[in-house]
Amino acid sequence: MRSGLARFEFRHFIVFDDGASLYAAELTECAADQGAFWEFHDRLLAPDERMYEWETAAALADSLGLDVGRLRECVANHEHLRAIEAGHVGGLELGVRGTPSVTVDGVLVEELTAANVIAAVQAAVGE
Amino acid sequence: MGLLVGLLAACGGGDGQSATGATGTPSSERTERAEAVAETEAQQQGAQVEQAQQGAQIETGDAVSSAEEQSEAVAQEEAAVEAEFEDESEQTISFDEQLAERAAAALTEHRRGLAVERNVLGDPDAPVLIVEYGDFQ
Repeated sequence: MRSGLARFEFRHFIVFDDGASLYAAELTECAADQGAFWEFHDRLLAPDERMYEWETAAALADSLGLDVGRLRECVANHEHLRAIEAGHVGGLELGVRGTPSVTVDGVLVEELTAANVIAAVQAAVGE
Repeated sequence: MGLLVGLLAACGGGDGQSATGATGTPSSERTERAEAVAETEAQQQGAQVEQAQQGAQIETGDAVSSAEEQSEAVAQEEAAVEAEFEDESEQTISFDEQLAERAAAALTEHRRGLAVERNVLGDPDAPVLIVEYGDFQ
């Protein structure tokens, strides 16, 4: 497959209504404001429950040179809540019911495997 | 418990004989005898009470000493368990830290060289959009 064919986007789909999922989503979006979405994404996907404690998140932000006060303010004010909710609703409209789920150009990959995603991309570009 | 038993024994220590139970004896003699019997009983009861008190003191002393030893032993055991738990916690945290760092590093490695724009990886002009819907929990 040629390079430069596809771009990859992560959207939040809140499955667990326990507050922690939404907190993590808001934390990553607020980190994204300062260019550190993926650093927080990677740490939150790693098996480290302490990322849900503010002190750990603040330490990561500090180590990345982020404005920790601004990050805290952003999370506390739920500045990205509506965008996160909109992304969730958008996923529902495409048939997403659980995570992880993948869409290619808005079409849900029914059985999620790497091969099926590649096949869906190839189909999308007509290869 | 020993104290209670001792006191009960001391208080109930009379032999049930009555000073007025003797018959055919002159009144003054009966009175003297009765007084003598009463005095003897009082002395016996006093001695028994004293004995019971001494016993109770010994038992109480033993009980205090034993309770102190037990508390000390329990405290030592609790300290040992706590120390062991702390060691295990430190090991677990250390393990989790290493695992989390390795996992995060592996994820970071996968996106090396890709253009980044907020939550989008890759060429922003690429014709196909792959979206992952995810939840961190």
